[in-house]
Amino acid sequence: MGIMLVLMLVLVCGQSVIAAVPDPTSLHQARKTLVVLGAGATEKTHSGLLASLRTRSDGHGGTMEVVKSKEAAAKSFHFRKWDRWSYDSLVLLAPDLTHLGGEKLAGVVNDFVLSGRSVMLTGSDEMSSEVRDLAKLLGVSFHESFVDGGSKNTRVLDFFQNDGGHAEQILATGYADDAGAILSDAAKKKPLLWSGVGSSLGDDNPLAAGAVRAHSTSFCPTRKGFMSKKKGMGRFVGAQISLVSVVQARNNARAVVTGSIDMLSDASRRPETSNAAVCEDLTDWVLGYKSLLRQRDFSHALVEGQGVPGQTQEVYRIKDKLRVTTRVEEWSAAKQAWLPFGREDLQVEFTMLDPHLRKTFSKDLQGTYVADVTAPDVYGVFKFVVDYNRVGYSYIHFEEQVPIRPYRHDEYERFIVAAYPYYASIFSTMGAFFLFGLSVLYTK
Amino acid sequence: MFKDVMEIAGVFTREYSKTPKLLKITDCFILYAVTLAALQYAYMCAFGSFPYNAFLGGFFCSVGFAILTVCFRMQIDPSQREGANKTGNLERVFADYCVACVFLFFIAISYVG
Repeated sequence: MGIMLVLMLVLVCGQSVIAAVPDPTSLHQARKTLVVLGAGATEKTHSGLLASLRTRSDGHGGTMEVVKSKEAAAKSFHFRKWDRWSYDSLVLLAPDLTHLGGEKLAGVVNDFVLSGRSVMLTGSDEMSSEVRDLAKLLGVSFHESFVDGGSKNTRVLDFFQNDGGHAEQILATGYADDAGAILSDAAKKKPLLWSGVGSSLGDDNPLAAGAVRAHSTSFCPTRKGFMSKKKGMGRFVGAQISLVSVVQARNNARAVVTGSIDMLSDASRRPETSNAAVCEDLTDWVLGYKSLLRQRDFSHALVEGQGVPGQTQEVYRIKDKLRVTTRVEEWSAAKQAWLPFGREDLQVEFTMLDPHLRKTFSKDLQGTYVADVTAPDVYGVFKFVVDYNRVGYSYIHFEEQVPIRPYRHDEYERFIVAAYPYYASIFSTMGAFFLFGLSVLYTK
Repeated sequence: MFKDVMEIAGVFTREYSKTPKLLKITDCFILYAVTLAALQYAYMCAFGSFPYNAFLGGFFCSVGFAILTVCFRMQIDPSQREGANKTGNLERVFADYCVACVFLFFIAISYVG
């Protein structure tokens, strides 16, 4: 019995060690990528995307594996083995997929994302309910029109902004204003040829954002091609429809969800559309080739106050002047190195329950973020908080605790000029007392 | 109106001149201490209460001195003496007064910082 218990304990501990969340910033680019091809996507129809993925994967020292959906669904395919993941990124070009490595797709990919890994999910009007469930887990709900107890996928229609009069072939230009974190400016210059099932971002997932949204003239139709009047379908109309959604989980796992597998195909890669550039940017982003940040070398030091200037102290005094420095680096896939981050909207907060002060860092020549702050006139246990949440970039959240103490009894200022009248009054009163004593004693 | 005030002042001067010389001197010092306290209060109002402890020290030193001197004056005033207190114990009262004042100054000096 005892031996059994010990054995179980060892097993449990061993598993938890293996299942530890990897640090996405330490994975670098040597990632193992799995591409699953299914209905509507073959090596022939999507050769452009696959070639571009292959080039980048090889160029960055990673590996890429392409499998058919039938092969990937089988139990013999090891996507996860003994709680070890065989891949770091997953590109699903298989809307019909229901199982992956013998497990239900939504469950296993959800675990995959929870472990900090990235996934690109594509739907189409042939997508399985598992793909739909997985998108829902990521905070993106695909449109569905219900027919006689079942449901059917209908493509988004737009009778105004389309390609060659085909209402299903939308030319979308509703790119998100993400300052180049996901989609580059070059990709935003031309319209995106998109055809597939629309989706809506629920209010319950603030981590999901629309990278490309539909026109105000677009709508998700009913089976017969009309706009639905049903309650709750209002979010599948106009610019509320998200054509391409991006999700960045709190563990910095990334996901791209699009309802159009045709958007990624060779047929859509035309000179007048930006599909090639958008696909490149989206895969760059989701595979961690861009907008990947890491923060390091946080330090604080005294500038002016009690103690040696320039030295980091365990405790600071109220109203001391402090200097906070940190480095934020962005991964450059081209140079295969961590380079100083370019943006200047990083802030530091000095918090005790509430932020007592908040300051925007300025950058010095070496790319180090520097902020000079004055400790507040409140003592207690404070913490420096660097919190950076921008669409497309990795989250940065850093806290360091720093106590602030009050003046010691002998550290207060003495002989203040403003107090001289008070000192004088005391001494003049003492003088008056002396004179009064004399006059009392010698008055007869 | 003005005549009334003049009359009051006249009566006051006449009656006050009857007080002993020692009490007049005492009154002078009380007046001085009260003026000093008022000046400090005005200074604080004008220039802010930053060294507030210093203000409290200086202000209450003057006020305290005025109060102690008033107490002293009450004890040496012949018109207010009664019965057993009648005989000249000026020295004893003055010694009490000295001890109280020294104590007051000690506290005031400690408090102004």
